[in-house]
Amino acid sequence: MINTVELEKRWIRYKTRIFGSLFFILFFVAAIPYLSFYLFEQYNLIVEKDKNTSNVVIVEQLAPKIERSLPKEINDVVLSPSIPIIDFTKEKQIDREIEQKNEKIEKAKIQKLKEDKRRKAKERAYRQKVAKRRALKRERELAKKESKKRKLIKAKASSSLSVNELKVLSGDDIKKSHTREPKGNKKIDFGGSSSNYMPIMKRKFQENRNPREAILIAKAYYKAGNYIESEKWALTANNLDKENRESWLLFAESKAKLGKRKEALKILVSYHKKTKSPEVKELIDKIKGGNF
Amino acid sequence: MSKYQEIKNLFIDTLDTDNYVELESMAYNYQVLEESLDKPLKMILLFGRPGTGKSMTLTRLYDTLKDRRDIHYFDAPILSEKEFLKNIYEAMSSQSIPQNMRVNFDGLLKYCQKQRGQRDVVFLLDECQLYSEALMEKIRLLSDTRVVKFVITLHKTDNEEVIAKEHFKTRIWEVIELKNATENDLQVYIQMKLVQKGFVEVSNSISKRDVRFIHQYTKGNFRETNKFLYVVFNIYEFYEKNQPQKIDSKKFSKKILEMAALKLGYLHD
Repeated sequence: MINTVELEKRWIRYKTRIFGSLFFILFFVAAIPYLSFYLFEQYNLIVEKDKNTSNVVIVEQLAPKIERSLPKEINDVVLSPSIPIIDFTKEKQIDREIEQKNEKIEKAKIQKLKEDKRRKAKERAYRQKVAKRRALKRERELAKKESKKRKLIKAKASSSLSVNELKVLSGDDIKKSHTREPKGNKKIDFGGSSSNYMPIMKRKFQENRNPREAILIAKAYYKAGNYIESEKWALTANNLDKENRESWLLFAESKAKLGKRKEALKILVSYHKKTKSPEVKELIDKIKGGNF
Repeated sequence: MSKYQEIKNLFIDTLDTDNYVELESMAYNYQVLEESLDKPLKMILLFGRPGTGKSMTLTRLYDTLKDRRDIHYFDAPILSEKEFLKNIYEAMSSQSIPQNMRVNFDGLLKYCQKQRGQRDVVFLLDECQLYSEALMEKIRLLSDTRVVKFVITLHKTDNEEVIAKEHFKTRIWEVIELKNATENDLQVYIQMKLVQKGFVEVSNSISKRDVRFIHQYTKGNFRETNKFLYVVFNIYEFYEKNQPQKIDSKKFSKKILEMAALKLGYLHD
């Protein structure tokens, strides 16, 4: 007969092992949802903490001085919300301090704003003054310019009436003119009322680069007997306008007056070949005949 | 003898045909085997894993036909050639040979050839995997005389194909394979064993679940099942004598089944 005592012991051991493993498996299976729930909760807590930290960061960014001045108790309360012990007197004190600092900051801001306003007002006033000055300056300049223009118009009148002037200068209408010296083929007196004639003409020429002005200057110099200058200005006019007959004639006449007859004839002959002008022929004959 | 002692003894691995349980699959195999003996076959091979009922089938066949046919059963393998030939001759001639004499194989062949058409002798050889190749060759030559017919059993081993090819390829005309019992076959086998001997109550207490548990470890092998149930009812016997309160006659004890499995090494503590 079999002895079951030992066998029963073995059976108990076997059952214990089987139930132990089964219990472990069941416990593990049952623990999965709880574990996942716990993990989920943990994750949420982390998120909340993250939010908290981010808030702290934001506060720090907005008002770093206030954050720095926060006492340790506040941090403790924020980081360990599970401990509900809060010192209200200290909190109030802290609140007061924060309020005071905020007030200071606000005052400082207001003061800054006021200063800014003042500065801006000053700047505005200064700009206005400057603008007024500039306006006055401009007015004065305009006035000056107007006066100058008026003067220039006078000069221009004399220059614009160049034909008459030329007539005067050429001596054809000297006798007819009542304003000028009635008698004699006299030279223009540059030191008289038209003493600033040449500078004005020269400036005008520089502004316009008009060959007509250069011819007028050349003519004036020629009449005044300054043949070197008349030659120079006649050449200037000729350079600007090759077709201008007067520039050719004045240049040749000036040369002839300076004793350079051959050169004068050469110039006139070459010009005559081009234009066949009788006036030029007449001048050539005059120079050749020694009547010039 | 106590009830459980009797039940226990039912599962002792014996070749007692009184305890033989004819399962459907086994009945079919037996019928095929019996019909094959009437055919002009030289050899019939019965093979299967150990404990599938080969020896039991041969025993039953012998017990059934011994009175009707010239049939001889060598239940234990005779490994000595001299002894084997002597036994063959003695079985055929019904004469005993003196101890100092031996049977000449050529003389035996001639003896068989002389009796061609007159006799049809059947030899049932169990555990043939133990015979030598030389002896197997002699068995083949004897079967060629068409006077002697051999029914041999082989364990289904890895080299079974080699054996079949080398020795019996051209001579075996019938091959019967015996297989382990299915779960249902095993339930029928256990219940029939118990019911045959009048233990209906115990038979009814064994549930399908219990049979599944047994089949799980024995794989439907009859020898293993017998061994398992022998241990089970051995434990039952112990409780019957010492702690009868632990036995529930209506429900087969799972605890005892597990204890038997632990005892046989199917389970480990």
